[in-house]
Amino acid sequence: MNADRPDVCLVRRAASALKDLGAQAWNNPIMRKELRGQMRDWRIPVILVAHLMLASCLASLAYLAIGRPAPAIPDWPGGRSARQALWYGAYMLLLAEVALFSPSLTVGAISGEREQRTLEPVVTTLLCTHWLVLGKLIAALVYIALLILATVPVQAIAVLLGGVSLPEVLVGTVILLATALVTATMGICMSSLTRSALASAVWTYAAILLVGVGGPILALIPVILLGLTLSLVLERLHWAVQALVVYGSGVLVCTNPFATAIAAKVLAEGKGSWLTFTTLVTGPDGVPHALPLLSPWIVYAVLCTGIGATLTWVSIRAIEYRRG
Amino acid sequence: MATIVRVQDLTHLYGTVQAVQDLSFQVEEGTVLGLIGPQGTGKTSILRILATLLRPTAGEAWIGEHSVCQDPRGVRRLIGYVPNSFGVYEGMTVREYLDFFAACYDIPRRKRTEIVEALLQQVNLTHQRNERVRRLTQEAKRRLGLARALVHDPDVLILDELTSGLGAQGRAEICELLRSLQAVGKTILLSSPTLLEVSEVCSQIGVMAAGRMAAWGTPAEIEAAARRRRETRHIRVRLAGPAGEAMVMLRSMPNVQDVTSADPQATASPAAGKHGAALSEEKTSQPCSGGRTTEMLVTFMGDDLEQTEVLTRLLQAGLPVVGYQEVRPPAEDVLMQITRGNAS
Repeated sequence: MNADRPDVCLVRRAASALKDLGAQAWNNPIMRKELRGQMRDWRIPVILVAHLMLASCLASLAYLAIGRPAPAIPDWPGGRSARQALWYGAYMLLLAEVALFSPSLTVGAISGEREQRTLEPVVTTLLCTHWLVLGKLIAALVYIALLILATVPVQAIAVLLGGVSLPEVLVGTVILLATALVTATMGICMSSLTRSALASAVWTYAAILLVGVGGPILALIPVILLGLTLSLVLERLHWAVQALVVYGSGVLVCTNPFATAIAAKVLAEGKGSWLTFTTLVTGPDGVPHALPLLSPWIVYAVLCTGIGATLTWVSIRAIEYRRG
Repeated sequence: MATIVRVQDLTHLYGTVQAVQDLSFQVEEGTVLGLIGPQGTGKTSILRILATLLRPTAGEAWIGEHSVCQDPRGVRRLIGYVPNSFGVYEGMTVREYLDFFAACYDIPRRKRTEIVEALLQQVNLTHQRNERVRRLTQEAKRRLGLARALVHDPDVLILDELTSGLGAQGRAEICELLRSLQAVGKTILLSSPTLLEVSEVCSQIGVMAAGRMAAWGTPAEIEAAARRRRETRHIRVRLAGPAGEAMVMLRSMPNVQDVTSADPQATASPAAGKHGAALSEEKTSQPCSGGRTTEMLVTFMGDDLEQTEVLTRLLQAGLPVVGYQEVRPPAEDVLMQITRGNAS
C-alpha cells in the first residue's frame, strides 16, 4: 500500500536509476582500461613516491617547528604560529601540484588516442561518447584523489599538533578536489578540441596559468582602482549597488583557488563560520541591510563543478561532432 | 538474398574537394565487395561514412534498416570496422584488448571470456593471448584488429585496406580468414588500391575513380568489361608451317595493326603489310611432328567479336593453326585502364 504511493514510486525509480548509473560508471571499460594503464605505467608510482617524500619532508619540518617556541608572524592573518604557516605553505604547494599535475593526466586523453589512431575503433563501438569522456575523467580524478589521500598523514599530524582545525583540513580538501576537477576537465576539453596532445597541453597550461596567475595580476589594477573609487563613494550608493559590488568581488575572488583558500580562512576567523555568514551594508538613508554570504570555498566548489560540467559537455559535443 | 548495404546518391566534400560524387550501390547479404582504385578516389570516405565516422554532405546510406545519418548507433550494432593503419593499445595483452572491446559492446563479463577465446582461436592468436600487443608482428596486429571487429558478431564487416603492406603469407592468411567469414554468411566490404589483393576473395568488385563507381560487377565481369574497352589486344598465333601467307592475309585485315614473326621467309616477304614489317626478336619456333611451327604476334584493335573474325579468316584460308591465344595484360593494367579512362 505504502509502495503504491507516487512519491515512494518516484524515490524507488530514482534509486534504481542511480544504481544503474553507478553500475555503468563502475563497469565503464574506458575507466577500467585507463586505471589499469596507470597502474602499469612506471611514471605513476614514481610521481606518487616523490609526492609522498615531499609530504614527509614537510611533516618533518612541522615536527621540528613544534620543538621550539613558535614565533608569531605579525603579517599572517591573526598572527598565527610558524607551524600553521608551514601547514599553509605545504597546502599551497599541494594546491599548485594538483593544479599542474591533474591536467597532465587528461591533455592526451582524446588527442593522444587520435594521434595513435586508437580512437576510431572505440568510437565505432556501442560505447556512448559521454561514457568515453567520463571514463577518462574519472580515471584521472581517481589518481588525483589518491595523491590527495596520500597527504592525509601529514594533515593528521598538523591537526593532532593543533596547528589547524579539522574543518580547515576538510575545506582544504574540497578546494583541492574542485581544482583537480576543473583543471582535469580543462585538459580533456582541449584534448577533444585539438588534433595533437602537444597542442592540447599548450592550450591547457596556458589557460591554467592565465586563470591561476595571470588573472589575479591582470585583475589587480582595475580592482585597486575601482576599490579606491568605490571606498570613497560606496556609502553614498544605494544598498543594492553596494550588495552587487560585494557579491561581484566575492565571485572574482572565488575564480582563483589560492585566493579562495586564503579568503575562506580569513573570513572563517573573522566571522566564526566556515559555511555562511552575513555582512551589513548601509545605504545613503542610513538603514542597514544584512547580506547573506556563502563561504568562498562553497562558491569555488560550485563554480568549479559548473565549469567542469560545461567543459565535459563541450568535450562530448566535440567528439560527437567529429564522430559524424 | 536481401540487400544489407544501400548507398543512395552519396556525396562527400572535404572543403571544396569532392571525395565522393553521387554514388549509389547496393550490396546483398553474404557478398564480399571489394572497392578498388588508386589513392584519393573516395574508397576510404565511403567506408568511413558507412562506419558512421563521417557525415555525408548529401545523400544517404543504410546498413540493414538503419540509416548512417539518422541511426548511427543502430548501424554500429551491425558493423565491425577496421580502419586502415589503425592503432592498438600497446600496453594491453591480446586477451585484455579483445575483452575491452567486448565490454564496449555491452557484452556481459561471463560471455566475454567465451567470445574472446573463440575469436583468438579463429584468428590463430590463442598461443599469444597473454602477450602484450606491442610485441605482436604487423600481420598479427591486423588479425587482432579483425578479431576486434568481430567481438559483437556483426553482420557487416568494413575493412579499409586490411591487407595492404602485408607480405604474401600474411595476405594469404587474411584472405583465408575472410573466406571463412564469408562462408558463415558475413557481408564484407573491403577496400584496396590493387585488384590483385582482393580479386581472389571478392564476389563483387567496385572500381572507384574520382569519387565515382567506374565499374561494378564480379571480378570476371570487371576484367571482361575492361577487355571490351581495350583498344589494342595481342594475339599469339602458332602455325604448323611458314608464316608468310598468314602474315600477308592478316595485314590485309582492317583491325590488325601489326604482325610480327621470327620466320625469316615471312620477314623477307615483299607484301610487308600496311604498317611495315617491324619485326621483333622472336618468340619460339619449335619443331612439331610434321616439321617446324611458327609463332606470330598479332597486334589487333577491336572487341571480342572482332577477335573471333581473325581466327575464322585464318581457318577459312586453310592455314594450319595449331595455337590461338590472347596475351592478357596483368590485372593491374586492367584496373589502370578503367580508372584512367574514368578520371579523364
